[in-house]
Amino acid sequence: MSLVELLAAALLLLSALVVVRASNAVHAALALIANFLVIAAVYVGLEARFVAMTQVIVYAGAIVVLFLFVIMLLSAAQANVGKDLLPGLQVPAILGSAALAGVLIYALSRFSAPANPGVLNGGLPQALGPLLYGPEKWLYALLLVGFLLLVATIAAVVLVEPERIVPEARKPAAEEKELVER
Amino acid sequence: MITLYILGAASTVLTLLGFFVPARVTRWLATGSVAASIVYLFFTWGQRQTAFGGLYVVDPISQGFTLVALLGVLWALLVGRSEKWEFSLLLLYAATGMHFMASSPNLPVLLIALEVFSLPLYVLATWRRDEPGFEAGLKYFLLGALSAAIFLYGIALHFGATGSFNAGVQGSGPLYAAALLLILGALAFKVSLVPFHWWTPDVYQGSPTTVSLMMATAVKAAGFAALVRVLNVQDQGLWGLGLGALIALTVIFGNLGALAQRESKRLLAYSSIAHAGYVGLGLYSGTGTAAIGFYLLAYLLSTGLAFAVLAAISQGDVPYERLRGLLYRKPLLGVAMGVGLLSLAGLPPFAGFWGKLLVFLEAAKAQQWGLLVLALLTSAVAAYYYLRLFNLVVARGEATEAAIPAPGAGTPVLAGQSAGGLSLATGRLAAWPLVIASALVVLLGILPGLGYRLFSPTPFAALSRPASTAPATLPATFAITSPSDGAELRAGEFSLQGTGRAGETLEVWDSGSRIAEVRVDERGGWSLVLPSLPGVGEHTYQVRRPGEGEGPSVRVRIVE
Repeated sequence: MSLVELLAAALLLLSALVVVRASNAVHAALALIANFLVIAAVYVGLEARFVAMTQVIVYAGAIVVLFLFVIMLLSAAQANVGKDLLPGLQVPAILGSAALAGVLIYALSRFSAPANPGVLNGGLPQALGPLLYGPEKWLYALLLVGFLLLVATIAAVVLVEPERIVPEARKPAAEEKELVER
Repeated sequence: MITLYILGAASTVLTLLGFFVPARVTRWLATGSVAASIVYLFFTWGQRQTAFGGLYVVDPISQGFTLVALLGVLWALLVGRSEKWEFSLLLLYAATGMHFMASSPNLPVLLIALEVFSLPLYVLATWRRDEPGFEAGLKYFLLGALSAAIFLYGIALHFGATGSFNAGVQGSGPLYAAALLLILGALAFKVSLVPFHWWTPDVYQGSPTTVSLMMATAVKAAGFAALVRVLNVQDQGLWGLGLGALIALTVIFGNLGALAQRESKRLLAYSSIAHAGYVGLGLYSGTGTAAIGFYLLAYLLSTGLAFAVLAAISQGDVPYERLRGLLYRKPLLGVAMGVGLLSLAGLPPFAGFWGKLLVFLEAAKAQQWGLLVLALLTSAVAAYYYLRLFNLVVARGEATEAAIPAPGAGTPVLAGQSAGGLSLATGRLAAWPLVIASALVVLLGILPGLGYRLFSPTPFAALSRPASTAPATLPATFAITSPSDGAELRAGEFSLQGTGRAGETLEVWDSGSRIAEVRVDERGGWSLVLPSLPGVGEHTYQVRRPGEGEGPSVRVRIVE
């Protein structure tokens, strides 16, 4: 591991810890952005440049900005206004995370990656495009993602849509039915 | 393919059409398209098809589980009617997602499908817009997002360990075991196996009963479709132990939890947890797909009956006392509830009995004796709480006043009054699905072969092509992991690498001529430095078992 890689790993862990531990939600979201920027740099180092760019644009530029909108609209920056409902949970949570990390580190340490991953062409969109849109490759998955985004849009709209006025004529009928049922 | 087109086209068209037509029309169009898909499924039953380079597969698993899922959605569409047309649309989206889920062996596609049918469900869970509804939606969403993340991580590790995104690829080593356990955990959340079940009682209770009906039936079918594909590996290894622990916990906790309930919807939630455990028994034997399919169909019919009756009484809570004497007040509802409960309890001559018998036989085939005894014992416990409810339904007497919550106090229960405006379908429309389902439960109880043959691949084996010619069904226990298919490489700068069963010898072929033999090492991997430099141009490297004519291959381009 080179010095830069060590630095990136340390930054990743540090920013992730801040995301989890910060008591101010805005600080946590900003640390998340820092995390995404570092991980984008790591992607570049791993020859996945297009993914790195999308990581910055979509995750840091769009998703976390939505987070920040919500946090600020709801004035929810200070999460600790209520009381901690589960005070005894911190130690088990730390132990659980450590156990999960231990198991995964063990599994990864017993595994040797293929020596030659093949030519990656720097992970540029020129190399990814044929994979994504080629009929024999991931086209189907891409179409499904498109469908998923449509579903997500409609679901979000339905979720936040204010109540419609239910026609008055129908209400008594429903209540009457309920009475008969009893 | 046509099922996919019908569902996909109907949901996208209705998205816009719903703005211009009344909610009633949207509901009928959605119902019609789901029904059309089911009819089409029957017409093409047993045919195999792969498309999009193996990402979309029509096979007995796809057809059987799609059938159960679509029937569940169809029933929810028939029972639930909302003032808002988006209700039918979201159900239709969910149906489409479940078809995606049942019809792909590809793990990333499974994840996308999982999200496609989960997102509408999160919204539907909050449909009542009261406090239990919001709680249900929030819990379901947070835990669902977490399980999707676990699934994704499992997929990444699976790719790392086997070099393949396909479910059912054999691998070895701790990384592979970790990957399968993560995937198992995430899917166990969807089918609510203990200890991934915590959301189930709250969500089923907080959601409108119509939505709970669909969650209990269709979502389980989609989840088990993915589980059947993922766990279709010969070597059970660590995940076998993990699955055994999940099933044991599930049948114990589900049934004991149900004993302590005082409210019908919550009881059915715990019962659905317990039944997921019984279905899981079928996963142990490689031939259990038909038994799982039949069990899910029987479970769909019986639990659907129970939920549909509860939905006809109220979309909110239904305390036990409210069911007292239902048989005399509403004979149709009473009979349907009785048939459903007896079938859930696993009593002959109802479909539920045969479902249980079939999965128990599969567990016996796989020699899981401990689990089998545990399942039998807990079935006896389950009979107690089902029969207690059955007893209430046929008991003489009126529902006590205290059992009927006053409107506005606590949770609103009056249909049509809750803010989301989910009113009930009543009259003949609600009646005939109940009649048909009751008749089917009895019919399948007397002639179980009718249902079992539907899910068994054997009767259609003569009609369809042999399995070995369909690439998607090939037992992919060995593979080439590097270089990737379609890569451009320089001669001499790469070596072939792959996976296989530890210790076996594989042949490597280059465009039709055998170039070398490799031995798989004890960790299930092999590597080959090409004996001679390949010429410039297209090369198809294929790996085969000695004596077999086919095997996985990669096509690479050698450049200067």
